[in-house]
Amino acid sequence: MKLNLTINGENKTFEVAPNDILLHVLRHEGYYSVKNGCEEGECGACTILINGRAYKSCLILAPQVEGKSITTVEGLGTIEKPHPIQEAFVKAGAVQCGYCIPGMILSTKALLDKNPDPNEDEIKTALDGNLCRCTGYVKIIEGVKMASQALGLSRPRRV
Amino acid sequence: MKNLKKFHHPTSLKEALRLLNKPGGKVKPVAMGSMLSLSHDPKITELVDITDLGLNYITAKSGANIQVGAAATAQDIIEAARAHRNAPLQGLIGKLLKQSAQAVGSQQIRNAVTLGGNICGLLPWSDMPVALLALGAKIYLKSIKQSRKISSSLFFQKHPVRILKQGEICTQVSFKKLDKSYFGEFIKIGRTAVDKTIMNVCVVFSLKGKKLSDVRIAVSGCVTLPQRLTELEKAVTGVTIDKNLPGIIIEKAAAIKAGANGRLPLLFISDLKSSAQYRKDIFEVVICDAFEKALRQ
Repeated sequence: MKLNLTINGENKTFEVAPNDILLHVLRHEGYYSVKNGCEEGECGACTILINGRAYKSCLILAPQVEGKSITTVEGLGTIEKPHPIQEAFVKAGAVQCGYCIPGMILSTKALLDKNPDPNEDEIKTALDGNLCRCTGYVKIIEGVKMASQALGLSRPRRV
Repeated sequence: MKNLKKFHHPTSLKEALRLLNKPGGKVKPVAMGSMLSLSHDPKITELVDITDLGLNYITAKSGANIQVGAAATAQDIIEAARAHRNAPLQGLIGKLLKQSAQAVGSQQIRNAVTLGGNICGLLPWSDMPVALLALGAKIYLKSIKQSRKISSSLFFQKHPVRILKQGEICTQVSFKKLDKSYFGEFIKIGRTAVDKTIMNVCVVFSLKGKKLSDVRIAVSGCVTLPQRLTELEKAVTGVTIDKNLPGIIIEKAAAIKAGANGRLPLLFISDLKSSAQYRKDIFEVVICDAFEKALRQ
């Protein structure tokens, strides 16, 4: 069956089976930032944004995103021009092996789009579905705070 | 679902109900599918997406009941219960629905799990049913042939698979508003904040003077099906709120657990998360804790 959707702002059409898992479809189509960690909805390495909200793509059947808009890390920034969240994570030292990071970045994006100035509890709640075996989360939380500040500086302020 | 052949995107509820009205359990409804995507059920040949049929409403008209559409997600419910004047879910109902929705799992899971899915695709670790039981919710079911309303107490007497008729889905849940004399608390015991539950309890009661009245105590996660502990509710009704209350609750709950008044003892479940013995050991303590937290308000 044909699957029509938008990925990172581009209209796409894929041929999928009704029982294809979205994670596998995305990786098959070259979106390698979407990682296959546990394949059962525990680790969050497969996190994507659908219409701005974070979901675990290993728990979604591909046909469910018919007509929807998906964001992966490929759509956020590039090596030449990284997104402020990506820059903040690097500056904070939030990246070790890097496997959890695409999921962390997207969960952060979903959080900051809705709540530009979260406190630490709100950060932990928003990222509670993303596991990291390397960092112990301290630097990741710092990275989110730095990103929040960086994005706040670039937003127009009310006088 | 190796035999899944068709995935339907109906544009109306009527069309969805027509598609679901096939015998043999081969056609299932799906919202965000966090449960179905991991299913190995070979019987399922077709899925009907009910996500975008307008069933995600949360309304609370002045003086009337609160209605929550079956496709409202846990995150929708949490946001609807935020502490501000115009929030649709206010008061005790908002508090308990929010607490149970927050317990559903991690952020991505809260974005996906729907109220209807959590109660109809009932799993031992489904977190929201106890809130519905303690709040005396009514569950609205609809098929192409009929519409009906069933109390939450009846709905959870058996697994919903045995309650739902052919082609029937939950369309909404309604809650009768409670006045300011009511208090309540939802507690989830899990190894982490987002892990599957070991025990859920939700208590609701009214205070008449200093005495407990209209007590509702619902548990899940530690027993096979979510259930009201009606014997315990009767045993603590009329008890005075004083320093003896925790001891009375623990004593009565322990007696119910062991099989009081000729009833069979409660059967606790064992799974990957916890043993039956541990669930049995914490049972009355968690119930007492819920009362204490509710009374602290």
